Amino acid sequence: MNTTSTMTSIGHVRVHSVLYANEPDRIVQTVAHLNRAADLAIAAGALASVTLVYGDSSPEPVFDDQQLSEIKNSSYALRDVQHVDFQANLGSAKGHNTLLAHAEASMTADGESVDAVLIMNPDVMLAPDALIELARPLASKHVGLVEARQLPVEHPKEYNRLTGDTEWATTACALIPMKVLRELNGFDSDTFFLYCDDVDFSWRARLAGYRVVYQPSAAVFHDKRLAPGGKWAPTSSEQYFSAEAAMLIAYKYSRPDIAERLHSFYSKSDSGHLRRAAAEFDRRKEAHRLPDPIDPKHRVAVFKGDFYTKHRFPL
Amino acid sequence: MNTYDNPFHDDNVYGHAVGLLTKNIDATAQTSIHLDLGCSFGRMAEPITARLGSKYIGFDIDDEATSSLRERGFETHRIDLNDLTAAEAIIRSAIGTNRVGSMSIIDVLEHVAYPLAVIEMLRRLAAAHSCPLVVSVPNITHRDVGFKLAFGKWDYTDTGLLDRTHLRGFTHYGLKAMMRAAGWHLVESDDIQIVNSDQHFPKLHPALATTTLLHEFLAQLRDGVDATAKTNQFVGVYLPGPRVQTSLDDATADNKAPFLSVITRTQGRRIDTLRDVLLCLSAQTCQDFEVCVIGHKLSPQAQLDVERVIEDTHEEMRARVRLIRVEDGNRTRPLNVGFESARGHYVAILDDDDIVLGHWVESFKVLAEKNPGRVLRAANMAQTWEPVTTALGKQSVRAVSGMDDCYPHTFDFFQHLIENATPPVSLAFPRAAFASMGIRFDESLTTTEDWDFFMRTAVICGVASLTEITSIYRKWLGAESSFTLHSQEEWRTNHLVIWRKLDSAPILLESGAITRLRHLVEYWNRHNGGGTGPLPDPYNDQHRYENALREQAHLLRHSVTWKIGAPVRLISRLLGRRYPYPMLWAMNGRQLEQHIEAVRASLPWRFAEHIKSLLGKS
Repeated sequence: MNTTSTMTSIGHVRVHSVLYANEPDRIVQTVAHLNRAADLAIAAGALASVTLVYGDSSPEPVFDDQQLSEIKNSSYALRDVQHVDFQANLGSAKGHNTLLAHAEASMTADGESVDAVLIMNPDVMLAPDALIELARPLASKHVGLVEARQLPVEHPKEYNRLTGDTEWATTACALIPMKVLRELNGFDSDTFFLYCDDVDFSWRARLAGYRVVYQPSAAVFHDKRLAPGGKWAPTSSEQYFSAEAAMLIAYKYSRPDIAERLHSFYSKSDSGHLRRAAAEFDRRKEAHRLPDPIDPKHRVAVFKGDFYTKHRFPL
Repeated sequence: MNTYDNPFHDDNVYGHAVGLLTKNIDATAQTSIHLDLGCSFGRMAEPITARLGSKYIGFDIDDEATSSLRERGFETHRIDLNDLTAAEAIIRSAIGTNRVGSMSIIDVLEHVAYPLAVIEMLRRLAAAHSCPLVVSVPNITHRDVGFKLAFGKWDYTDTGLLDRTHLRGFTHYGLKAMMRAAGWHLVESDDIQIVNSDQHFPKLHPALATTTLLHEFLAQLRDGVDATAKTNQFVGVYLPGPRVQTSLDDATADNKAPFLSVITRTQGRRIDTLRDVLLCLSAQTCQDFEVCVIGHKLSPQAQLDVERVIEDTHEEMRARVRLIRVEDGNRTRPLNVGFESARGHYVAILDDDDIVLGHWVESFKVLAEKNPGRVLRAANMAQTWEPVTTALGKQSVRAVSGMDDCYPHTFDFFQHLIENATPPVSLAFPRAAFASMGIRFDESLTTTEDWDFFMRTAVICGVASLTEITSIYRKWLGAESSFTLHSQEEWRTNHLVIWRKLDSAPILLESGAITRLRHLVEYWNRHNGGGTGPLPDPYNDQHRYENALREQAHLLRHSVTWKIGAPVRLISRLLGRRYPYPMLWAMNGRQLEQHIEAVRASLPWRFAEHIKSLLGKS
């Protein structure tokens, strides 16, 4: 590992990952990658220690105690591996907020200091130097999120080639200082279930004056497949939740015109999932459960077609 | 066991044996003895005495043969090589206090039940003398034997390659393994080459007759395997040394092999993308693979960098990665070294700048289970990338284009004859094609070496295609690649070489290829004034058959005969008959056949044919 002697440790990192009916063997493989990345990052002085915490939204827990014990025993570089059974499908935003509350509680109870949280999808596998590279930009107190580059299919959203600045970061794998999470009160779980919670968090971070940085040298493997023609083929639930989230984020960021246009389009769609998403938006509206609009001057929110920033290429 | 009395000639087994000994004995040593085991009539006795200056002692079970030697003034002893304890005692007694300068065992081992025990005994005798041993055995893999066996013929004869009294057959590799196991190491060989052996019968057997397609096909494959296709007898001189056991027999090695060996070529210039490659592999859903990273002409720093990247992977992955350095050759050399080092059932090339999806290995494995032994081909996308280094990170890369669906999703042999349309990352080759058939990457090619290897393997093994996308071929903007390193002229030259190579030998084609070829020739004929030929096959070629019938029906309607029949049709119309233009485009084959038949059987047509015959125009 080419490490620099000038790296500043970002302290103790908690890795938060929300499970939903994942294959245990695949999770074990993921932990092996994280363990090695933590080992190297600690050795390089980039981090002090790493704790891995799984929140489990599955109908049946992904691990039993025996499996968790085996994972702990084989993960010599991790301070601890914990499993929190949510006993309900909390989705992404609420799941991570629950884990953040768990982190705060452990800080109070055990005196554990948590300096940063790595939000990570459970099927993401880190390159050996990924934690070092993710930690590097946090030397600047102005950086609020650092996002990893995904393999085998890189996210097409644009970023500044010189600075790494980007308009929003996916939380498939992103490192966030704990103080930023506290300051922003975590994710907006009242509005978002599965998608756009990361777009929203990124935009709120930028509204608060933080930089959102894409770190191409921090590579992670996120097991995406390509449909014929090389296109991304969303599942039906992905279609539903992304459509719902698209209307909500447009509404939240003071673009009711876009929310209305999407709603109209989804309402007339041949796809039942899209019509259901439009109906859910109607129900929220009637129940006054839509978010309060923010960013009225559109300082951070960007809507380019179906995307939330400029994309370098179609996918 | 028969006893043979073959004369000595410089160009037969005896001559080659004496020649090898002459070159490999210690010429400065004192007078010594030569032991000839299974000496028969001892026709080497005189040349050995004369050329080596040794005292010749013959050993055989046949008294008549050894009496000939004794009559010629040579010492002989009777031994039975099926009773090695007694034989060894007799030989040791014959040696006495003499120094053994050399030994020979010519055309004997194939006649004994336990040849390994015999040469082990000779190894014990040689221990005190460090003397060479010349061995000759017949080659049971001579192409005349092998080609006939492939078609069910195995012809024992009184003498020769398939002598009825042979108890053991030897191959090049089997002999080498046996000798090494006994502690004999080959120093030099001078095998007997015979193009048409005593097994070359019947002479016009399609597999044997040298101008048949079948023989040409088999011969070029056999010659690719090794140089022993025409070897009649292996004649080699060995020196005693350590006993070397082959670690695993082929069957055991096969069972222990991983499914896939991944060959990753690197020059250590793209450490960041090499790290990506290893991450893509360690994240595979199927971990039944090994990785051979072939470091080509690595500088000391590059080697350290590559070793570091490998060392950085997690423990389980690291155990499956080997770095193999190659210091010579062009970019093709590492592929041969990599395939040579591979242990997997299949071998795939994943260069240090490509990307594979999480089910790359798994998809190959599933495809191999359904198509064992075939070349495996999965669908692939191309994507353009460029180097990037942000202020807060190290050197890396970024995608700058979407997925380019530029390669066919399935393999088409005929299209691939024109140019390559398959990136190497989308292929997995059966290792046996390399290891057992001797198909090698052509190191004279500086580009498109993968296309050449792929096609030469495909014509033997066939190709199984999977339309699932499992890999991404990276094209580079502003970075070094094979496209920037080699000139257009170089690419063109290599292309021509591959075309010529493909055309130089008979090949195998898949079932259905003849229909495809017929279409191509018909198309060419149609566009070059040739005839259209007979109607296509209604079963294998339904669509074309129906179109041909439509054309035929159309031409009937516009023929002279049709026009001559006009008056009859007019009368028929006046009588209420209708001749509407048929809906040819909506008719199936049977309907078209019936329509044509009806036209030809109709009164106007028969009338017109009659008129034409009267005018002598039919």
